[in-house]
Amino acid sequence: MRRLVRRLLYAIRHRRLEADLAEELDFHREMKQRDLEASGLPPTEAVFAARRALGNVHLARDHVRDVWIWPWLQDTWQDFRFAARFFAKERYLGFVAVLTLAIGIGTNTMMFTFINAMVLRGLPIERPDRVVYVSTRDARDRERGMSYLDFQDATAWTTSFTRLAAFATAPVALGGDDQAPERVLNAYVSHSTLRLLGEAPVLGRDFRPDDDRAGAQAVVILGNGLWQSRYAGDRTVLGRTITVNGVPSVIIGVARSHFRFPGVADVWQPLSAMPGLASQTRNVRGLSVIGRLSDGVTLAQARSELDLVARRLARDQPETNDGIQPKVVPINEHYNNGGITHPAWLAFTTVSVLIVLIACANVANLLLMQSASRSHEIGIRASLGATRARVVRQLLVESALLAILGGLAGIGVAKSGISLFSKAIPENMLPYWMEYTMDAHVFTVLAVVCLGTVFVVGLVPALHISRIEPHEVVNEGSRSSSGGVRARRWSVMFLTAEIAITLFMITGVVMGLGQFRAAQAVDVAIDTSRLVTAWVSLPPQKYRTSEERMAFVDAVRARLRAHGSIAGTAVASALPIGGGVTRQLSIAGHEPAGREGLPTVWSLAVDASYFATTGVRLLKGRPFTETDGMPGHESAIVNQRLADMYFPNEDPTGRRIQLRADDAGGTAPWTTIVGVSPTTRQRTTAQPDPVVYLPLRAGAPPTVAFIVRTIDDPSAVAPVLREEVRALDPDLALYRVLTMDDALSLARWNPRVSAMLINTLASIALVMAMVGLYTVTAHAIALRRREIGVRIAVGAKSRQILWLVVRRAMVQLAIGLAAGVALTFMLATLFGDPQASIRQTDASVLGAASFLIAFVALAACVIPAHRAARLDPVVALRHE
Amino acid sequence: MGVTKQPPDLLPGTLDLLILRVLVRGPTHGYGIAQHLRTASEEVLQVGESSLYPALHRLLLNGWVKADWGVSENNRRARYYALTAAGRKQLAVERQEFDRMILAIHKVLNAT
Repeated sequence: MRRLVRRLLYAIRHRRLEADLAEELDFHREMKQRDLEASGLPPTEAVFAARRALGNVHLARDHVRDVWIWPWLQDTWQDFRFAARFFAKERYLGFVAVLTLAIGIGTNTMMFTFINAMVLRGLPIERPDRVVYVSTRDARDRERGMSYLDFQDATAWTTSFTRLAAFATAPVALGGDDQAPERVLNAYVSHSTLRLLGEAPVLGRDFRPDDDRAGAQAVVILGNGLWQSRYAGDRTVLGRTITVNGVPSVIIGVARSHFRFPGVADVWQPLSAMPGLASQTRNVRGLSVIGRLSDGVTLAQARSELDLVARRLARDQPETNDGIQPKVVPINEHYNNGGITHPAWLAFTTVSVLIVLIACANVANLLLMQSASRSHEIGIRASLGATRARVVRQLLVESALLAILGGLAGIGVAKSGISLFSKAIPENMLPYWMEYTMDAHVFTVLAVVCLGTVFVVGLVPALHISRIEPHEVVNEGSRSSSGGVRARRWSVMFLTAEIAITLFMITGVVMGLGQFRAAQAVDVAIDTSRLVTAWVSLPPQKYRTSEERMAFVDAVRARLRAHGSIAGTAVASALPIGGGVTRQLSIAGHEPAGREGLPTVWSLAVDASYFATTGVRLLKGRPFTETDGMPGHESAIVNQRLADMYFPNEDPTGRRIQLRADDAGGTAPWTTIVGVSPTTRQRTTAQPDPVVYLPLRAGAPPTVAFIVRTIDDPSAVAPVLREEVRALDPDLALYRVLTMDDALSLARWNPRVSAMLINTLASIALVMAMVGLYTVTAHAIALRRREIGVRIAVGAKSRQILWLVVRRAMVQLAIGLAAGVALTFMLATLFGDPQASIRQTDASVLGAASFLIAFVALAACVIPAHRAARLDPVVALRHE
Repeated sequence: MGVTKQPPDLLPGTLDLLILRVLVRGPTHGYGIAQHLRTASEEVLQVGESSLYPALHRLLLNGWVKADWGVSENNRRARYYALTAAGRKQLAVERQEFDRMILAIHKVLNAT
């Protein structure tokens, strides 16, 4: 190994070392010349004599180079050629081995590509280690953004940052050109945001401080994708005026392609263009803030400076800022999905490593099986003078060949897997930097995995085979003596390990399937047939109040009612399992549990026809009417889950509740519960959430969803919807027009894709482990054929033979299963939320998995044992 | 000219042994090693550079000697070879092996 390192060092520095040698030879010649002169030779003679004496300098140099490189390279090349010939002859073995490694390495590479993109790579910005993400924590330790006023104070009072930038995103309607209005995601950003990130527009200019002032001419920077799709990459768009939510804005620049900060933004406007920002109070904490640290400033210093700001604000503005703590983390820590130490990522990593290990174990075992037939060849090599190191090396080169081929094929497997999963993820769901690309990191890991594979796969068979003594081969009778015993010992180890890993994997599969079903089976409690959904965003510049928005909603509903193809229309602030807003629940007549103790519920606004249109039958009370939500008609409908949680054994209807926003410290109206819905779901969590429906009229949000039930073909209704909305307001863009089924599937993409990934991983591991288990067991029996033949020859019954074989397999099975159970329990906590881990360690799942493994393992030993027992002993003895 | 004589063939591996032995006396450059081999063997062993330097590099590769640049007795930059601990051990092993071999050869030659 040291020699290898020295060789590599030589290879790296060969230029310098050869120059050294040249100088050395020069010195040698000079010395010789001097000595010759001293012995009385005339100087001119001495020069030539010395040259002659030195002989051919090039030859010397070549010989030196040979010492270091050539024979070694030649031997390696020879080994590779031999390995290639070997696998050309053993085509089946080679094919199976490469295929197994390709699946193992490919799956691992695919997984690492995901993990790299989601967790490790981070944002493609200038020196991300110097950029921090600033947010706040409230008195209840919940993460919040920053308010506009607080942000301005923080900017003015701190010196730790060269730049501090705030941003927020909102969907807007793009129009004012000759094309149909389009809904895009707008990011309102401080004018310095792009510079802070080290980003510059590819065309036109960046925002300037005077763009980001109240009353400034509205300007917009287009995203590259939008520029291409909407303006076909036309460079003359610069200076053109378009409307953003109806506000005429001048296009001043086009962003670099792929840049979509802070996530999937399509256009950017200065922060000051954000509607209503200037009038926002300190308790509206909707801004995200990033900062670039000044030179020499540490994260801790920046933190303590922002702590001072927070303390000052808490003192000066106690009613809004009391208990608000700043939170400062490196930007990549904020956007890394919990980091690699998050249990979910650890679980994925574990599974993908296990898959490679199973693949390696299978291939190592294949090679071990092959060793029986190779002992002759190796024995001859050894008796011809090959050292053990030489034999091990040759066998390692064989596994290196397998690993290289497996790695190359694995890249293909990984690529197709990545494209498969990328397609399963809906567009615009992941931030722009989480692209599943195979970068240098991925290839480095791939190379390391391949190198590891060489040793894991090759070392055991190589060490095993190379211990064969020449005399064992020469002496024909001892063929299956010590070599066989050693091979069997290794096989037993592999077998036990595989049983353990397989049990763990099967449990994982069952759990993965369970989660998948749970995500699909979340009962949305609505009849989704012939339901179409569509979204519209009402620009706050034009629809300033809830009344104005409600007027628009009423107008659309009135127009749609006139269409014969529509059975019903509902409007809501969120779709089923489409989230909602969290609110703090107070119940009249209950002890106010103090500031810390208010329970959190999910809330959404729905109109009077929501329950009728979606087909949700209320369990108690009545649905909303058109008067609900008007002053004097403050009402609410809760779901059964909420009723169970907060009104056990009571009728909630008629009770009064208050929903308070998290950060608006102000008052909220008390509402009366008028109805109880079934346990509807706004999220796909394992446990249903308590949900409160409020009448849309009590507060219509700027973004609303239309839910339309058609009489027959739902696809025909989309144009009707578009037409009616445009007839009312030509600037409005209807977007995300989907059937309810598609919308639900979209909402569930995350659990769906995760479950898909887990299932794929676990299935691959399962099949590989089962195939491996079978081959290892069958091979172990095959090794004992001769022994079985002897036993039969001396009178053993076939039942006794079977028992003999099964007994040993049972011991291995027991050890393997015990180890597997231990492994499962040990790693159970890694798999996501505690409920899932409880399910995973569920005895019935483990029991079923153990049974499956036992079945395969016993089948794998009974079938070949039965065959061996039925053999004519003479044939069995001759078999080898 | 008669300055160079064809050196007698050495037994395989003995050159490495001889170099190691020469280096026991202290770090020396390539020319010094060749000189010493010649004088110590009373002009019998004349090692050609095309075998001396590859042999030195073989020893480097095995980690038995190490090389450092130094200044020669005539104030020129020269590469000095020094014995490593592993080289010392190797010398002992090879020497023992060599003695055994020579003894064996003698026994054969003197057998009647």
